[in-house]
Amino acid sequence: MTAPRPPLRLLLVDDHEAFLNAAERQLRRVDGIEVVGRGADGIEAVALSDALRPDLVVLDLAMPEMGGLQATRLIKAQDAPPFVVIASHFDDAEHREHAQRAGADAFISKLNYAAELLPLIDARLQAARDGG
Amino acid sequence: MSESRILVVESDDARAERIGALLDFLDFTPKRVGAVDELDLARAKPRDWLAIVVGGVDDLDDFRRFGSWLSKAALHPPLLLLPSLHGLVDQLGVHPEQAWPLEWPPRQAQLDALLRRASLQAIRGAEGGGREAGPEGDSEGVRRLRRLIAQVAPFDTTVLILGESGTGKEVAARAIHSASSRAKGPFVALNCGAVPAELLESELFGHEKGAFTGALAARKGRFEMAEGGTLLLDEIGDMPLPMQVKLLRVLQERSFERVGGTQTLKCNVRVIAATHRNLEDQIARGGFREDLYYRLNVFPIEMPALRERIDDLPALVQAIGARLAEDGRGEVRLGPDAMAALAAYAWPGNVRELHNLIERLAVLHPNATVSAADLPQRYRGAWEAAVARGEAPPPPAQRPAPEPPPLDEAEALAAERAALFGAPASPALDRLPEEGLDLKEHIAAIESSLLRQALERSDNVVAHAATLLRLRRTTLVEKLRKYGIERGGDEAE
Repeated sequence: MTAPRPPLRLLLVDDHEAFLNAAERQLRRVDGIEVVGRGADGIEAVALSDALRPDLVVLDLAMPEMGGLQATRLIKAQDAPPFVVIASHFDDAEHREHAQRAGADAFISKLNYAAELLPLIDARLQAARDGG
Repeated sequence: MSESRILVVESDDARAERIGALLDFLDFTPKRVGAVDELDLARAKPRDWLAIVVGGVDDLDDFRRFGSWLSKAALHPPLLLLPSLHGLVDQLGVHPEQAWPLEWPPRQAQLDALLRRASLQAIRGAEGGGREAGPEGDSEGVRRLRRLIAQVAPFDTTVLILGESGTGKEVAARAIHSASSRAKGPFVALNCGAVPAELLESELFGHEKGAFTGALAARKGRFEMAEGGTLLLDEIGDMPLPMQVKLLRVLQERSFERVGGTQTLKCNVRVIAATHRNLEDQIARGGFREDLYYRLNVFPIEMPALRERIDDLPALVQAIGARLAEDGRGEVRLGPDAMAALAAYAWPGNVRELHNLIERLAVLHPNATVSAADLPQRYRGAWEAAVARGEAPPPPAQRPAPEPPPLDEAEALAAERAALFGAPASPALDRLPEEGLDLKEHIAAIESSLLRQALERSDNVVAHAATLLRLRRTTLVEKLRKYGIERGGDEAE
């Protein structure tokens, strides 16, 4: 009944190329999303987020040059900023607190990346449906 | 750029393999070298690594060179040392606080706990921006701030730094520390709001081994780490009430116990507290202890909001840009229209928000001149609206330097405030007399002198005097009572 909607556009950022390959492979099976870009550090994340205007950005918390928290702050300064998810190796109250203070919208554990990211994607897709 | 965030320095293959396997199991991909001469330090930065596991070192001199290279960073990643190195910490060239012992054979729980701690430390280090100089600018607000810092720094007084989020409270605290006799001692900061309530006590006072589940080894708290130096307790307004009681005791008795410990430890630490919250409101609501408030509020410093010191914008942009350039980012130049737009923005996030914007511009427009059109909409909306009305103020950089004519009511008001607060009202107090002095009495004398002057200047109208002193009226009344100061004339209110 519903007309086809534009896919949810994802930007994935991690300094570990193999990790991104694995993540992308798992996400390829998910309907309604498109991985529009990949970055290797926070600086690339800011530039790509500005150029590609993704709907959702997943940022590794710890990366060389600029980590995910600082990148979140810079990305959130843009007009109509994307939904930002911080992916962290360590998942505890303090790490979550830091992500929240940086302005991230959600937090997932890197050890459980796809499983924790998928419900967030579903929720964004649902929100897009409800919103328009 | 290296993918691996954990470096293993180990000359022994079997040991290296064992450490590597454990790190693999924890889902890290360590980079292993047999010795530090395998690293290309010209292309690396100390903070490329989350932690460095060090086992067998064949050439201690060579390692020390690596250690001093690491130590150039304000906070280098921790070295997790295998037992053979535990006695050699002072020969490694690193900050001793960053040399953490690791057991052998390595245990997953200990390694995981140490790496978790390293991660939090890296986050805090990146957020603290350890090397920020400042405060920068030449507005009346900042000049006044510098005066206050210079006044209070030489004394060991507790300082309470108040101000909106992002106004640079930690920068001010560091400036106090650097200008004090404790400058050579450590400066340690703890954000009380970022630590879960149940962990705060151990963060502050440390714990003994086995004090609680997960306390695998004894650990120093922030008070011990700051021994001989300065401890900044940021977001003190977020400290839970039970911890406030304990903190008050430390401030009164200058001693404390580790969690799970029985030995009382003496401490010699200057405490600076900071918060963006209104503590008096919190006291009224029962969220903050009044006795602690008076202990902390010996010398309050109010950080000016960026919008109140917008004349400093060009200097701030320049300083932030210079620091980013030092870090290898592109240079940021703002065109006159961009500067004017930013000067018209309200800056709810203050200097930190400005820092984020400038850093963003450095990423997106390196070595180019940024025009207003390059700014995100929210940063140019107010200016564009003013331009549309034909009343856009010129950018601050282009204002004539001597005696800028008041452009509007707000500015006239700001000038008036500057005139009121401008003159340093306190006696010269920045030198400790040869024979020492009774600090409490001395500070009380300063305070009561300032109270009298404020009353005098405001014709004994307490509300006006309170404004002059940036106090609430009720607080001032309380202080007048404390010092037995009579209000000379009639009180209109």
